[in-house]
Amino acid sequence: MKKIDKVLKKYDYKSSRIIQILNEIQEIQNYLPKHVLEYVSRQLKLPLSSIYSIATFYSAFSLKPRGKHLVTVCMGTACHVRGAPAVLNRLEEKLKIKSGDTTVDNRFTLKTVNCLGACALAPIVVVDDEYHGQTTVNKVDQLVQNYEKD
Amino acid sequence: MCRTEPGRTKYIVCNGDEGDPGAFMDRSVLEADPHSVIEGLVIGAKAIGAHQGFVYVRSEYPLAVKRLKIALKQSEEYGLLGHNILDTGLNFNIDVVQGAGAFVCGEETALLASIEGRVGRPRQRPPYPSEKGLWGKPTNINNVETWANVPMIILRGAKWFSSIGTKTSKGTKIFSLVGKINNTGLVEVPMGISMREIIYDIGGGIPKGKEFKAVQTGGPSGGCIPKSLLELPIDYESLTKAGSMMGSGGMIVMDEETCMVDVARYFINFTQEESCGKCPPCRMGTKHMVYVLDRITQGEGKDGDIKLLHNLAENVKLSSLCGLGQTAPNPVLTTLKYFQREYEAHIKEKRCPALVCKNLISYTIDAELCGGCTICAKNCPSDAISGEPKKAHTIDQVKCTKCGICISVCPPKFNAVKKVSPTLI
Amino acid sequence: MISITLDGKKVRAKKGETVLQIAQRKGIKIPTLCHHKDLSPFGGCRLCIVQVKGRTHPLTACTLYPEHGMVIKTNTPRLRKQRKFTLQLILSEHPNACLICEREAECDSFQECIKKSAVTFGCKSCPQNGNCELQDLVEELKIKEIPFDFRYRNLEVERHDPFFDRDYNLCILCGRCIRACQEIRHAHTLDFHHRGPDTLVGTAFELPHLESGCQFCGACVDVCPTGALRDRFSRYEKPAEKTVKTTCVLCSLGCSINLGVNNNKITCSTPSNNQICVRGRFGIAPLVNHPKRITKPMLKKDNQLVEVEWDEAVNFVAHKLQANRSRAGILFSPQLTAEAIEKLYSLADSLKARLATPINLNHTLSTLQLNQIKGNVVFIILNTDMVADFSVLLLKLRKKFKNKASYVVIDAVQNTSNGFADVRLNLKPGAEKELLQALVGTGRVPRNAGISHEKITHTKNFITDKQIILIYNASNFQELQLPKSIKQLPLPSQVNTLEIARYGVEATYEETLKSQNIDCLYTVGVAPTPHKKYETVIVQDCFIPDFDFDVFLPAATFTETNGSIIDIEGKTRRLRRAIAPMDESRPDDWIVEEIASHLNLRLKKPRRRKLMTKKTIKMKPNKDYPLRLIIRENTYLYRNKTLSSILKGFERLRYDRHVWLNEGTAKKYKLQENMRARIIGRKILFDMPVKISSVVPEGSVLIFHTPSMGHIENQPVRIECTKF
Repeated sequence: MKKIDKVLKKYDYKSSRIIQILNEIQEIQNYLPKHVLEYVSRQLKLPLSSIYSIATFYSAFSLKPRGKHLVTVCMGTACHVRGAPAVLNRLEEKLKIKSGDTTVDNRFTLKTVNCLGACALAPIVVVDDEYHGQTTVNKVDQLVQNYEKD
Repeated sequence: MCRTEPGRTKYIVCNGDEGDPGAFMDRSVLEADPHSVIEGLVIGAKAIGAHQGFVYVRSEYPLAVKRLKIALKQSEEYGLLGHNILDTGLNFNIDVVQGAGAFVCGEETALLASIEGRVGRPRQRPPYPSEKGLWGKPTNINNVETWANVPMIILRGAKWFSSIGTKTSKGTKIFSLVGKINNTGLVEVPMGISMREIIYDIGGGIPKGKEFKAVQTGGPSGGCIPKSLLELPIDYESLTKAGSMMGSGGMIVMDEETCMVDVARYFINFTQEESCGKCPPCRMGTKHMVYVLDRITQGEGKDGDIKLLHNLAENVKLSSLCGLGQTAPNPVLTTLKYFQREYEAHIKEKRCPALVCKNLISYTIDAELCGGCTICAKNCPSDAISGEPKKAHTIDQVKCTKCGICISVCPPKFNAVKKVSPTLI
Repeated sequence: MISITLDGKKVRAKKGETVLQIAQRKGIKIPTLCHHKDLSPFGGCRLCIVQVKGRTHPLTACTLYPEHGMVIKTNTPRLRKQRKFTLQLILSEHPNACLICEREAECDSFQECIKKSAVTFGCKSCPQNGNCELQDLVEELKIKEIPFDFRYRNLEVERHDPFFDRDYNLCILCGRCIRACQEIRHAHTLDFHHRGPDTLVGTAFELPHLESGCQFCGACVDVCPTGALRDRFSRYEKPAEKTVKTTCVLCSLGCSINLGVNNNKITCSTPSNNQICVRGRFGIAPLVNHPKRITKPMLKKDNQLVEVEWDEAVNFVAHKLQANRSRAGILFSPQLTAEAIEKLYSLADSLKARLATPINLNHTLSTLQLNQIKGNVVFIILNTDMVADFSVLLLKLRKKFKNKASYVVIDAVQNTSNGFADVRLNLKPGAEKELLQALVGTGRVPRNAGISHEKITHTKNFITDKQIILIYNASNFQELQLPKSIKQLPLPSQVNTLEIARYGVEATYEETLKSQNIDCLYTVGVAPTPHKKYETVIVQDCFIPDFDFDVFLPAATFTETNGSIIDIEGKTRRLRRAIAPMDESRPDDWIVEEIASHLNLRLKKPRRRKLMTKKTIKMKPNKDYPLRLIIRENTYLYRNKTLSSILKGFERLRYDRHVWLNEGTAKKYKLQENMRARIIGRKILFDMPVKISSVVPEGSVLIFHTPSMGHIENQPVRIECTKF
């Protein structure tokens, strides 16, 4: 909670900065836990229903804990025409989860994003902060294997 | 307009919520030259008398946020931001606001709501932001590229800027040229240049000698321009006339292996997911278009579907609240207009001519070309391929999940795996 | 004033008026679903679109503030086409089989029909049938078919909360409920969540309403244009045949209500011109129609209660009163009509009988006069849950003073006022007086008040230069000595309190009950705990009391009575008879008059009495009694019953028959939720189930006081687990 207080203080307890605050909390906690949002609601005097509304409206926020590795598949147009749907399919098969979910062992969370603005590298998969360009269905298997180790 | 509005508190906003998939001009400007945007904003602030500015950046661009913040700090250190800038008596500060993944926040009223810490649901204009914007105060809001252009225009004069481009579309425009094209990247071209020049002269044509099919401009709000319009001059008017739009400048090139029905489905599915949900035409209209396009691409299209799509698209365009919904049907309308035969092939013949729609294609091995190397059988994740080594292999169509691995692993010297449509079963 | 052209006619309009308002004023009908006259414009449903000259896209009339000279058309073929399309889209998310059925007119209620894809989808089984704004619009826009696939959301109907059900499969996302909850009630329980086609209305984390701070005021239910939100009691009732405007007597505020009447049955109660609370919205119809109501006179014969005629019952009563006269004690509830109370006073005068009422009649009680409050005010709310007990008054204050008023909440209990308080002081119980003195003067706050010095300084700075008005529930204190400089606004918790204080009472409720001189007890709307064996007990009420009695006179409820009550501002408010008294039940004043006429008495104007109040002794917790007892008046009652004891919904909402303590205290005394506990003080002993709640401070227990508990002095207690 000390870290949360620091974030709140940074934004001067202004409820208008809630989106920035949630962004930073997610960075600290890896998702938005309910008890933290309740705390933020009390501190900012912002109704919990409004916070929940914001947290579910913006796709960057997750209310469920996320896995150790966040696998993001770009579904931008350039990636789409260059085969991103097949890459996503393969990832879903390989990790045995649907986009938006987390594997049972909490190792991977799979999500899609509408464009990372790295269209020249299409199709692109980002694992944590590492960009993997020109991904193919074959490369997916290798990619998952690499991250399964640690 | 903002300048003449009464009141002391005014805001200036830079819209960096470049959400169009396949476009990344704003990202490159913000990452490579954030100072030009800051300078543009300061000039804008001086012009309208604002003391506070905001730059709204997509959450997907963390590097842009980082670099912009560095640039802001530098500007403050040099006295180019803050109190009494360069002794002009202007006090002006800029805050960076990071989005959180909502395409609709590119719409200006939604973006302003988002800066205010609310859900990004657009509202009807009027009142326009220049009258009632952030916290009800006059607000000038413009795109990254526009603000970045301001210093150059001031420096060299409006005459210089107007001398480039066409009569009505002045200056240059940056496009992000991506997709099935040899040279991908950003290109800055004068307005009025033809599509052919961009794709063939600058872009270097289509890879692997494939046939050019269409170019999609303007992101989910734009449309697909077919081969027949390759000579079209690129300016605001001609693009709109062709049913597309300039938008943020995304330009996605598609070749013969791109299914236009699938492209339409892709875009409308995108807007459907990104719709804020406030007004029924956008919320439900796009959803129903997805239903129809889904069933067409799955080979379950019905006779009246093209008419139904037309009806939906036209009405969603007319009835939606904001720009997102009003332009959402463009990809459907342009593909219907220029590629109706492809729709009909899906509906009537249950065939995907571009060999893309999974339910309408099958993978098969040409026995004459197959060298029996067994690579495909080893790599098949669903054990659908069988055959003795050195003998032609076959694909069990029931087991096949159409993942396409066999095609990608088949050695080029054989090139024996083929896609066919309609399906074999 | 500006002038615009509306459908070809020049129309003058005020600035700040929307096109929709202007059109409605001029009698031009523009279809709309998300608009509601009491709520801010939303512009979501897109049905009220109009064409404005010079614009390609139509604009929503509800959000359009016209400029001078604007030329607007409200009804063109294009608009009609687009409205139709939009409504068809809305209906593609809302069960529509019946709405577009061509045989709709011939369909009977609940009739099985081969065309109904499922009975649950049909309009005939929807509580809003006949009242539904979608039905009206389908007719108006002449919709005969829906060309799109029906998308059923397939959500579970939410039935787990009390009072109303929610079927969001019927929701059209107009957002009226959200705006009502936020703008009118300031409750912020509801909001949209998710987006696009997945958008839904709900609470934070989709929690049950009971856990999300919902006040169950029903404002959302009342603005819903469809059957998505439905009052559970009236869901199988037809739309009301008539409504009767009357006054709610369930608390001291006396709010105006409209009673929906169908076939001489009260089906629902809704706000009339102002807001009402959960008591008035969801308490009245189930109370009046309660299966346990006694509506026939009963007399004990051979130790057996038997139904008798009124004449026999009244004869018996008159005989007993005549025999006892000054040895009779009359105990009455303030929730009777003012007329009945006056008659009881007269009867007591004539008989020289004792008269008492269980409410706390404080000398400081005065009429609420908000008009005299001007300038910047700070309301200090002391030990009172304004949201639970006086929510309508709170809304009135917020509406009247807007941002000119601020609120400081002082309470040992974490009550629901948290949401609106500018400053909250969570003091330890017992230090109220010292704290107030420190806030307005120079006194020091005792260490054991549990409030930091910084917080006190902050609060002091906050309230300086503001007019301080202290608000509290008068019944929560036996006597509160306060610095004179503070203007006090003690709120009585029952109607007619001011009137009764004007008449006065010679003896307190306790004294009357304990008096050895009373042999005949006559209770009207109250259920005391008897301290002795009486020769005769006469009960006049709606429900059977928990004690032994000889005769029962069935009283009509306030909905079946003409008359008046006196509200918190001293104003007389009319009660209008909505239905005839059920069965043999009769209004209280009628019964008293009957008794008087059997006694051959002529009831005269009552004489004034001296007001009796009593002092309290303060005691600190000690070894034998280590816990502080926090007492809060239960304002959720009708006559001799608490609402929670007869209505399931209120039981789940209130838990006011429980003793509340926090987890730490519970652990210390080995108590668990719902376990029976015994609270023992020097002068009290109660057995109650346990409710564990973090709102109670450590080392304290909270109970809700009802008249039947008798007078409880502030005293330390201990708590034990009782085996049963």
